[in-house]
Amino acid sequence: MKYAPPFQRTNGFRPVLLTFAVLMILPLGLTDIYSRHILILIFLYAVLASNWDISLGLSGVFNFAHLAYFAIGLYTYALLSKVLHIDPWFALAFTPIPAIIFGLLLAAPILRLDGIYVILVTIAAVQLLQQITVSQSTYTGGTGGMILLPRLEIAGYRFSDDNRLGYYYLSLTLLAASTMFLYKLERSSIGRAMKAMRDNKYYAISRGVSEARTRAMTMGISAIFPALAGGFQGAYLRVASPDVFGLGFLTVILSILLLGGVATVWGPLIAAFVVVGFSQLASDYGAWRNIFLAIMILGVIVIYPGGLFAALQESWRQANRKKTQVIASWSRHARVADRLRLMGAPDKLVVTRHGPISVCDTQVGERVILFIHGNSSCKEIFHHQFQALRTHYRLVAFDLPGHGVSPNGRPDKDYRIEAYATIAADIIERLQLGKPFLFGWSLGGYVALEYAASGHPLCGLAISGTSPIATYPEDMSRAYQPTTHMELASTPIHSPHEKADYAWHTTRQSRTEALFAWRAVWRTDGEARRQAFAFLPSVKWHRQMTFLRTTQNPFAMINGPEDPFINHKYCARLMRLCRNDIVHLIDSAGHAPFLEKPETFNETIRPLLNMSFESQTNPSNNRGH
Amino acid sequence: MSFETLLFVLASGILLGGLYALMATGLAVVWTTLGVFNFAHGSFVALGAYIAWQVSQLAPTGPGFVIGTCVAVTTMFGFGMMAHFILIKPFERNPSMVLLAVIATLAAATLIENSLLLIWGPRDKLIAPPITEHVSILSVHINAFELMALGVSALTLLALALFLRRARLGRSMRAVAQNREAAELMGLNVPLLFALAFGLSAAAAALAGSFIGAIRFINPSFGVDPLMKALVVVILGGVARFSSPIYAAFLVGITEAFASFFLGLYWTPAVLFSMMIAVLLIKPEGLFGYQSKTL
Amino acid sequence: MKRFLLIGMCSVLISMSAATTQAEVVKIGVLAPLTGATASDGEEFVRGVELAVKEANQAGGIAGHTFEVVVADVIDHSAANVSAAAERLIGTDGVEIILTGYASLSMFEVELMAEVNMPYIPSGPSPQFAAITRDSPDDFNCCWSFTADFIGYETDVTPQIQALSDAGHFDLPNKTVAIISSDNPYSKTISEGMKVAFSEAGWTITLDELVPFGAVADWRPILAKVRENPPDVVINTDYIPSNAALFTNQFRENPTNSVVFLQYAPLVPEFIELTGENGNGILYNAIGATLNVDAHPRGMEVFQKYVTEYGDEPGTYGPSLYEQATLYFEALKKVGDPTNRTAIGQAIGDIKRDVISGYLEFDPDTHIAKVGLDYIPVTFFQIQDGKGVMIGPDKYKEGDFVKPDWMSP
Repeated sequence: MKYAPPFQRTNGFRPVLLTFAVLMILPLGLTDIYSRHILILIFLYAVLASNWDISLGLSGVFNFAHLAYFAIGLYTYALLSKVLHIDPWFALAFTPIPAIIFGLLLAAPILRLDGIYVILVTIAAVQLLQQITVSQSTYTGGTGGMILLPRLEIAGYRFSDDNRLGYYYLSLTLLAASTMFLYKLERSSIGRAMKAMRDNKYYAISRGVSEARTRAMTMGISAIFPALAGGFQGAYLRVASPDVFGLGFLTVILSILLLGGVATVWGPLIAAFVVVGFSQLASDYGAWRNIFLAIMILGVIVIYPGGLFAALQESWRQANRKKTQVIASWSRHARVADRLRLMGAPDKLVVTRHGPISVCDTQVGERVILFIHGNSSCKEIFHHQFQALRTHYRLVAFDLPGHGVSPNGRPDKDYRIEAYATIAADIIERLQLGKPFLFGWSLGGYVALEYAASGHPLCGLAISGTSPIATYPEDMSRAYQPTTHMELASTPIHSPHEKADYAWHTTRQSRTEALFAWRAVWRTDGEARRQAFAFLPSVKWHRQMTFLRTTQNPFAMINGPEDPFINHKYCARLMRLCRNDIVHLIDSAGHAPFLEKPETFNETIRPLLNMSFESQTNPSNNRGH
Repeated sequence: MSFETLLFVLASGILLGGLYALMATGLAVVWTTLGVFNFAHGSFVALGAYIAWQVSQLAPTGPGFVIGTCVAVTTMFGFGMMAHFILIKPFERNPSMVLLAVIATLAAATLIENSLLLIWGPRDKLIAPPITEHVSILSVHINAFELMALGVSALTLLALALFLRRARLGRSMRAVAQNREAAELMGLNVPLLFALAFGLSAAAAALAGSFIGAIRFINPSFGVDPLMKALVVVILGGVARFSSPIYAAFLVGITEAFASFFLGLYWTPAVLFSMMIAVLLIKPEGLFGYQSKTL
Repeated sequence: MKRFLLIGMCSVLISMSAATTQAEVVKIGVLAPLTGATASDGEEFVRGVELAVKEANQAGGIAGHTFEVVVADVIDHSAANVSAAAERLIGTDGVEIILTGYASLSMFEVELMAEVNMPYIPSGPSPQFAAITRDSPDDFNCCWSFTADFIGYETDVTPQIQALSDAGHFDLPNKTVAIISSDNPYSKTISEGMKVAFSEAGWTITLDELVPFGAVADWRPILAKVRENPPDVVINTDYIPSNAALFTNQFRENPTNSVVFLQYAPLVPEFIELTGENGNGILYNAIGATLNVDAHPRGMEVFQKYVTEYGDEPGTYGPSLYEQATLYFEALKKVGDPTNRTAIGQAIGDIKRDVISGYLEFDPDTHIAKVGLDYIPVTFFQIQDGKGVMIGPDKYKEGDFVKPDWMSP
């Protein structure tokens, strides 16, 4: 299942709403015709560029006849309203029809072609269309075009009155509608079919996606809004001239699209502001303006092939990293007392090969348990165990880099399961913990498995909320329920709603019940989430399975039957292959049984602990590693 | 249609074809080796022509043209190699390379065209041709210089063909075009060979530019038209062999001449573009093409 | 997204605030192609206006106002670019008049000017101008076309050629003409009119060829068609100088025994440069060309000023734009207040005086300058020894027709 939250629950909602609100009230401040004219042009160009993304970005069909839709819309409006004297509003509404037909006709010849050939055929098609248009000069006015097209009016109110106020709002409406349409399209089944066809054509076909249908859809759907924009321009400028077929216009719109970023809805909108704003600002500089614009485009695509939107997202991620770092170092000092109350022991920074790590250690006891928390969590998640088990065991827990009060790590080196395992090994060595018992939750479960599989000392192992993976990536889809959790777990930046969603589903504790756990989600470095998943392929999964099959150490899975994420059947089947096939289910617990049902959990784990530590003291039972 | 007219139209088509061959081959060399379509090729033609013009001003009547052309060809060779590293190299491994190359070369075309405008101004210029005599072939008078241009083009293309077939470096280029990975494994310096392809292409463009500048006229934006024609030629001919675009160039030149004569200049572009679409539909690898690509 | 939006907003705001300085200086807006294929014409537009402004400012201004030139780039003359440029000028504080050689070929911007009552003097194609103003000239008091009625282009070529033949310069044995035109409103309107004029005068049209608007790579196939049935007169109305020059050069390779007439292009200085020897003998005409002859002092004066200032000989547009600026100065002198646009527009329309191209009087029905021997004449030129020599009308002529050397003696 693809994670597709409603728009009002995503990160983009607030900036978009704000922008829209600003654009709605902007005419109050900008009363002069020129500013409004430029904004209208920006809106039109944004519609053109962002819709081009349906073919170019979403479907990977290099349709260079995209602007022909605009031209067709323009001439349809002109011919219907001026030659046939049809009501301008009807003419405007009708504009998409011929454009869609043209798109469908064009879909036939390019069906067999790929890449650059599609570009060339579509360019040729535009040239032909231009020639046909120009040759019918009786109707289309030839190269001079048609002028004085009827304007739009409602009940006698001309849209050009009050310094183009009507046209301003109409174009803004067009942009808003187009953007909404694109947003929905990308998340619809058609949009997903387009993407599948782009990313892996043969796989998509083998899964029953029709190539012909998808391409036809692409060409047809991407025609609707450009045609309306063309009709709008006809009504607004009141001119239809063949220059809209030219290479110059194409270059401008293509620049907007690629500068903004392909395969994003928002990129072209931003770039339309930048490109049109810049060309108008620099309009006094003639050739220099074009040179600067060209250099700017080259610069952006060389440095950020993803375009401005990718650059913006990147800088947002960087800002988010800075923010989480500040939160971490602040709460490391300011919330000492809170943590001490929860854990009953202070934490300190321990230097490891992957930077300083905040470790909480009860320090007393021979029998050591090391706790490893999960993705976007913190060591305080184990506070029930720290309270209950400290009398018999020495308890140690640490914050993974980028989590809790540990500082942020280097995204490429520190945020991966192998690095986390190394950190655990370093802590065990520095604090001289000997052969501890490891308990890992969720992502921490993989860390514990990785630690064990790479031959580090331990006496026993338990994991919770983790499905061991035998073969990657095939088992990922078997090991987990198809939920949005996976998508969220790897998304660098969450919206507030998504954060709450994540915190609730992983702990089933409300904000007041487990404030620290909720705060941990807010604090986590987004890169840690992203990279942990990005590096999954490099984990030696088979080694973990070999360990599970051959280990002499006690091992158990302690899961909640109501865990919404893991596939219990898969776990049970997998465990049957293992030497110690123990799966404990904690009644009516979810993803974090140790937090939700601490008493039951502690009772369940106690025999396992005893068994592990006793096997330590009784070497005959331990064939060791 | 009299025999004389037929001959005249045919001559016109062949002379056009020679220029197209020079431009299209340049375009095809880049396409086959790098797999990108260089939309800046037209502006390379213009830039080469302006360099030739500038140098030829030193001796406008005497050997100016020859010196200017030589300087333009060598300068553009270097310029082309440099262009590869700026325009194509940065996103060689990017999945959307085709698209990025399109916009990068389009941006480069804008850049060059506007720089030409700034440096040399907007007015049309003429490179003084070295010979102004006319020759008569079967009662058709032809500008001797155009005939010379045709000859030089043919010799250049022949030299290029020999280079690609016989010379070690040329054979390496063909190897890269046929199978990049294998060529890389054999230890060929692929980036350098790519740059070489770009350089050769730009040099051919410069030669074409200085011929056009002497037969017709140049202005900063005159490259668009040759680019469109070269595009049609390359599509029609395909790039299967070094010679395919050359045949196609003469086919296009002659078709254009006869279409202009019979249907009028007005519908000639439509004829060419329809031919192009038809070929792409029926035989996407080009009229003279096979499935595999080489030089 | 927010950040870039702000930049966009700021850019718009800055451009506005930049416009709100200095109100005493009257800004003269010029629509000109600064980049693109017609940039060479654009350069002349700006030079002409700048020359006039420099003079006016040196003379201490007019009615207490000094002037400044603001140029907006129309790039490729496309509707979107012209409207953006026009809106920019209209929106710039202090711009009270807009001048241009030609902005869009359809002249649709006249509507934009009329909406805000902005005085506008173009010297673009007058038929397109008239098409807009004709229905309700009173709504277009702002806008006056410096270009005279093009009807002279259509009607005057036939009698002129017949007159030259009657004077014994050449024979017209068959009264046949080949007419080649380019598919743009200017060339096409003129060639259509010429066809009617020639037919009515009893001529046979042996070839009627339309070429697409834009660069023509090769004229030879068309010349081959011309040669199939050699006409007495060959006319090409394609006004792009490089096209016309290539046509001339290729015609001279295998010439026919015909008079060659080209529309507009030979007026552009580089035409002679590009054709060299081949250009000698070519016939052309002009409405609104600078009458740089002794019989018309105003034309000589402006022409000389331009040459002194810039060192180059101007085409049509340099002196025209100079003259258009002086028309505005004259109107401003009469009205006094540059912001009283209605009065300024009226004052421009009332002007009757000698201008570079003849005697100016606007037609109240269409707001375009009147054409005719007593107003702005259709002048005929022939290139002789690399120079355009005016051979008609008799009132202004500076030389006589010389038989081109490609024609049989």
